[in-house]
Amino acid sequence: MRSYKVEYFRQTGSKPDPDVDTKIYETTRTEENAGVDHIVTLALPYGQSLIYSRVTDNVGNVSRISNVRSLNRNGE
Amino acid sequence: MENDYNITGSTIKTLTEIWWRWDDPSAKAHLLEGCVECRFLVKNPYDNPGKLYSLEFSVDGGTTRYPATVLPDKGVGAAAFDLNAKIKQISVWWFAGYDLRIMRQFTGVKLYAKFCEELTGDQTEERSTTIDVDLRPTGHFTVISPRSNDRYFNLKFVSKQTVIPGVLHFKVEIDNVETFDSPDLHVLSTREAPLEWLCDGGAFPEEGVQSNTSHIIEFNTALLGSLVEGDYYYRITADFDQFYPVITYPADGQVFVGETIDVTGKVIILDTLES
Repeated sequence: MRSYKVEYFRQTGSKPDPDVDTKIYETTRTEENAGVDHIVTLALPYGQSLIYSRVTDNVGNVSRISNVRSLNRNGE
Repeated sequence: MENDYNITGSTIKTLTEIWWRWDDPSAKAHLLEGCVECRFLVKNPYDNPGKLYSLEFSVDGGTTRYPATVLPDKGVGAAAFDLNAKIKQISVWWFAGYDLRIMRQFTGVKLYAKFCEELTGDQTEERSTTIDVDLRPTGHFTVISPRSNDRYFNLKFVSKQTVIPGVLHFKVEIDNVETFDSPDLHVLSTREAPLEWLCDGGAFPEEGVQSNTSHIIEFNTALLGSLVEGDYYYRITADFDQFYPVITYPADGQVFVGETIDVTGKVIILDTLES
């Protein structure tokens, strides 16, 4: 059974870089449930935040980085 | 190996007389089939048939072992084979492209094999070998143009079908030196700038092109014509995605109040055997 580590990162620089950016969530999925939507709760800093995710499988293959999402937080 | 009788209480454990070792070389890669042919030398002085008991692999020096997918219709597969005192060469085909995927180069893949008697199930000792596996789709292109390396060339090539399903992105390096490391190096990538590319005469898909069929890929910008006059070299490589993450919620640019948000994501898998 294949398994996948899904990492979510908060982008801090000009380009997504998992070695530099802050990892904000990590979860493990198996092949059976990999395609099922999963919900993670992220702490959102004030102002604008960029998030993206990446997947690594159990033999070390690393996926491309997901499309970065730009999120704005109204800091009231 | 020699017989080994261990008497513990009333139980007699008998190991098999099957002798075997990895052949030299122990494996051969079959890139177009995504397989590694594992080669063994086997004999059994008692004329009893044997069969593969287990084939496992580990990667990157890790201790975790995974069962290797053995093709039933190549080599001996998992079926029994006749043995006698004469050394017999057999092969088992490992579907490495499925187990390892073909996204990267693997160095130091360790294979562990064990055989057994077909009738009694008595097992041999386990032996291992270490091989490199690189099934990445490199060099699988037919270049239509340029026909010469002048500065007026355009770039058009055919990508071929891969053995495992997935999506392909392409990178083209153009330089005036064969080593592709001069300050004039240009790197063109479908991942970075898909709008500059065409696939089969239409827009290049943002997620990449499906690899279950071949495509005509064309670079569609003014860059090539703007290069200073001279000789150029080009190199095409493919990036292969067999799985990738998708953030399905929230949408780009959404505004939130509060300190936390729920993010929905999933992993898309493209290379299941059923695909």
